[in-house]
Amino acid sequence: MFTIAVAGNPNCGKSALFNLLTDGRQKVGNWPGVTVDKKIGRIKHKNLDAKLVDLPGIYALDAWSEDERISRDYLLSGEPEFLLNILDSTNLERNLYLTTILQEMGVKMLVVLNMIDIAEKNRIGINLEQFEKELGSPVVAVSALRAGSKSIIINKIAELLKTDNKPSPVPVPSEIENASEENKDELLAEWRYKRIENIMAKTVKKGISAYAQSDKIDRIVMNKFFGIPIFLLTMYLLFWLTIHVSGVFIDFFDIAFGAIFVDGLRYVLTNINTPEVIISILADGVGAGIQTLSTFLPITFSLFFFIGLLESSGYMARAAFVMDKVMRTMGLPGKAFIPMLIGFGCSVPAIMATRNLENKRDRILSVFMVPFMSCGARLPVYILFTAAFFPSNAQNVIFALYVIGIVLAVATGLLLKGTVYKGSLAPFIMELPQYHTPQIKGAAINAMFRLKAFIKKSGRILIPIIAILGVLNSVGVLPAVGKSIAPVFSPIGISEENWQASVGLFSGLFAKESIIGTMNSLYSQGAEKEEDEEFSLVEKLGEAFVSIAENAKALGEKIKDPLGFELSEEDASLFENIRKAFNNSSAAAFAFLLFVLLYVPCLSAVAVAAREVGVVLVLLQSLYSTTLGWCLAVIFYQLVEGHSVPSIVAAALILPAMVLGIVFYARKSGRFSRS
Amino acid sequence: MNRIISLNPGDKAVVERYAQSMDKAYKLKLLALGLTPGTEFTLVKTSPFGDPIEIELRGYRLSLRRHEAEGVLCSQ
Repeated sequence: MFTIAVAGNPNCGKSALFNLLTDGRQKVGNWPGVTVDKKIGRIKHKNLDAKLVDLPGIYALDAWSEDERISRDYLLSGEPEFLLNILDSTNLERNLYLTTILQEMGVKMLVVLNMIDIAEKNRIGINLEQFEKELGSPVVAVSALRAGSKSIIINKIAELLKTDNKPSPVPVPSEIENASEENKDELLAEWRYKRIENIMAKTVKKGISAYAQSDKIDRIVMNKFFGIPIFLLTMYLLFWLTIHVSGVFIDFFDIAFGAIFVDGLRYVLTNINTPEVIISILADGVGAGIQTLSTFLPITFSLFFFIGLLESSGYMARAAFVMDKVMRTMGLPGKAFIPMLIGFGCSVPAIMATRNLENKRDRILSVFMVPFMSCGARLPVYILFTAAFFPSNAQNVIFALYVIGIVLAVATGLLLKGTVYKGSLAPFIMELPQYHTPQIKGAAINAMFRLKAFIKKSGRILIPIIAILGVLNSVGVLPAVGKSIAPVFSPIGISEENWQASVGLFSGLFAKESIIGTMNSLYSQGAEKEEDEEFSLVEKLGEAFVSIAENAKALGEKIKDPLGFELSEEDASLFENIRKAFNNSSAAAFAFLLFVLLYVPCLSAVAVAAREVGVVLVLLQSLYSTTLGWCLAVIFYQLVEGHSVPSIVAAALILPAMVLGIVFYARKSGRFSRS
Repeated sequence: MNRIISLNPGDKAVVERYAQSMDKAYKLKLLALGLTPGTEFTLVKTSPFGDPIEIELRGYRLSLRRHEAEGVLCSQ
């Protein structure tokens, strides 16, 4: 199919125009060899039917930057037959730099002056005819917000396709071509900018400063004294909205997908006399995998929706600007603050958000740190255990767990920064965009795009894993597994008779909150087994919808009791069981919580992380955090209660050995390499 | 010769040249962004923590870290 590449600087309004041209119909792909998303769309118009490929936002085509190299390779590959170069009309001088370089690629090109409405408002006068002539490429001026822009671009492309005008690059003067290596870059850039200055002087009338209004807002928002409180407040709001808005819908997805893909599937398969083994694999395996995946949809969508709103308002870049100095002490750029923050809600979207970091090094560091943030699924475990063992100061114990997580995340960052990534923080280049009204539609389209990527890429890993474990679970292998791994946990104060706790930890791999459910049902086993009710899809779906209303109502109460400390009466018997199983030892309970905080993040997080940094590094992270959790739990329990010197010594030796092993591997293997 | 590290909000400066020690990829990026020799820029603001900084050049604004931009040698 006829292929058009879309290129432009970051912040030139490229995404909005891309959405406009393709009516929001986009597919996700990957650029060869890298984890940069490739956005592909389609123009369907009576004058033009073409594939549209979005290049990363770039300033030039230097081989030194990953994004620019991808773009250059693609343009040279011969696949794109036409090039749309999008420019920010309010920032022409710098945007034209890329244009002059693209002209040298020898691909037919249309220059699109975007955001012309803002340029007009700022009284920037562009003599289009003259501009086109001086530049040597065809030009149109549009605004994504203005009706008719779509057909202006499409009709112009169609018209250009009938003619045969390839860009005629201006030859680089020979004295620059032949200049010495050390001066050449400067001379070449200077020469290009001279040419641009010349075009600008002849054809563009300077307007008023576009920054006046944003400067006014920034005088408060970026103020020395208010800047940080405003930042903290905004981030808290982002976090709160993401968690609670999605919380309203999580039960809906859980119940509805469970009803269709687990119970419904089982019902249908049973009725057509399918063998039990196959039912088990399809319903309890694949069906349960789909159900688990579905529960992450609301939080993933709402996170990227709210981030999209903040981004389009112009504040997100400022948040990174504010936090840069703080994050830098851990070897991360300011932007990396977002995944860390979101980690307190859920590691899955947090790890996905690491994609916004430009450097592989920053993504790897973040993937190692994010799981230490106590996610929302761990909180119910904390609450139950602290209520059972530390009734008078549950809050303090929970707070301590959160702090321990943060401290270990920082320590991990410092460790990797000090060993593997010595002094190689990528230079910081960014633009603070002007403030805009947040774009609800754009944010929704972008969030859908991320959601599709999540389903497609992570589902492939997650569903099979959960399917296998689900089948094992349904055939009753887990208690045996629990009993066999129980000895591993006896040094952290979980006796071998308390094998239910080991099974709980195992089921926590699916989702950490299921630790409680599993332990609860195992402790009270035999008491009452869930009756097989008559299955009714309509009833279940009804229940799913009701859950939305109920959770929305509960949102009001959450504001009053944000941690959900109020426990129901049902919990009382569970308390008794847990206390008995842990021999009334609060040291063992805390060691258990430490381990819950630190061991392998749930499989969904692992699957997402595998997509971002590769399977090997994810396994390494899991090994690292689990060993760390075990060693710390052992040391804590044995110091406080067990007093077994060999156990303490063993944990105290394993811990540094593991850390050294990882650092050694990281340096040897090159898997942590920077770009 | 002046260094970006010592500029205050409101100060103007002109790029003279790049230090030899400058990271190549970073230098290419700054050149593409228009910080070519002879370009005048103004330090507009700093983060509430004092760093990074924002400068204005060629009619637009750009944010940099002070110590990283140290290799951009300029005169006031």
